[in-house]
Amino acid sequence: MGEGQAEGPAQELTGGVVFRVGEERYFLPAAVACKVLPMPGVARVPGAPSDLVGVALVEGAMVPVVAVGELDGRGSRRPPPTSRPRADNRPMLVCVVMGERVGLVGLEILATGFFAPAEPEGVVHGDAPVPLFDVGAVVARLREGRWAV
Amino acid sequence: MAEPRGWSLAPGACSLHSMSPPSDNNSKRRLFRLLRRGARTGSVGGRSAVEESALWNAHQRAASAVRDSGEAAQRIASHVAKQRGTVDGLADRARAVSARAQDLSISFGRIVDSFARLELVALNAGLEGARMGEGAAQALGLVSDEVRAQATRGSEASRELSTTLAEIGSELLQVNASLDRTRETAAEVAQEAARVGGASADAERALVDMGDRLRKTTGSDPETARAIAEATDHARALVAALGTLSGKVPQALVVGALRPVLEPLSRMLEGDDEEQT
Repeated sequence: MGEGQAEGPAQELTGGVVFRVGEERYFLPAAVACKVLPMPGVARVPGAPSDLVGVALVEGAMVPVVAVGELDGRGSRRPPPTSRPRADNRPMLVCVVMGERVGLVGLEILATGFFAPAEPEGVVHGDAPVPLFDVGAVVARLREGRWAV
Repeated sequence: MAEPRGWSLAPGACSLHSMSPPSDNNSKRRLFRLLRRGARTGSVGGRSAVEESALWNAHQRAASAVRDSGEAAQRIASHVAKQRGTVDGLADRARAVSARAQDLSISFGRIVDSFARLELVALNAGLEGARMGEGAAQALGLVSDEVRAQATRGSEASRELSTTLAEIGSELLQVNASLDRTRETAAEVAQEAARVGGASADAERALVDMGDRLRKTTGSDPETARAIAEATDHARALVAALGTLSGKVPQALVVGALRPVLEPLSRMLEGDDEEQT
């Protein structure tokens, strides 16, 4: 169960996942966040923006993998070249955005389950409000960005 | 009270002639002649014999010391060879343990990987429960939290073990380095022992050569020199004993006691004297 589950019986809880990107914590509802997988092998897309790590085969379908945080400790938002094609234990949060699945990497999953709601659309986790992560904005930024070819 | 008629070794006090019967006078004369000749030439010849004896003694001590040092060098080389074998065995064991530690490190990596996957499974269970609805998800959430907590603990424990194993591997590397240095030192000691052995052999040969040359130069050998030295010591002891009797014991008693012993010596010295004359 989520750590920030509300104690009041009248309060309607929100199911989802709380994760951390850098120092910030975010929440994604269970309707958007599908599952957590280990980082799969990723094929790079030439000329893609730096946020787009590449594409990966997830349950028989190609899924774009997007970095939302640091992927390694050296300031790069991409994994090191040697480890990039390989799967590892860093989690990838698979989400459904506008009917499309997208994998989010560079984050740390803190908790899954039910959480007490917090204004405006977030939840409470560890006695602190956690805002809703705008995954749609991330995908939109990718679509709007220039692709160098 | 009349003093007993004694004898004395003091110069000018000798009274053997006056004490002895006439029949013994000739032999006594010979003895005194030889003694006088010995007094004239014996100081040089006696000293030469003593010096030769001392030289041969020193030569034999040097030969013995060189022989001992050569044998010690061989023993050192033997011990070093044994020690090197032991060190090689230790190095082999250290390498085997290091290889085992690396295997274990890989195994711990797999365990950490499994715990991480288990943690993801627990997270997915919680997420799935969140999709199922609050009532149905409660039990699933509890199980998910417990599994995740245990997986986290197991993962941390495995990481700690892996870290400890890495430290052991590092220590083993240092042990191997120390053993390598020990092996190098043992090789150097073996080389030095071989050099000492070679030098001892050279010194032994040189001493043998020196002994041959000494034998040719002096005309003596170690056994003869030792016998002369012993005879000299005995003669000195005899003179010292006579000195203690001087003036205390009647001369006739002393001469009577010494004659059987000194007669052969007198004859021998006289023969030598006649050969020289």
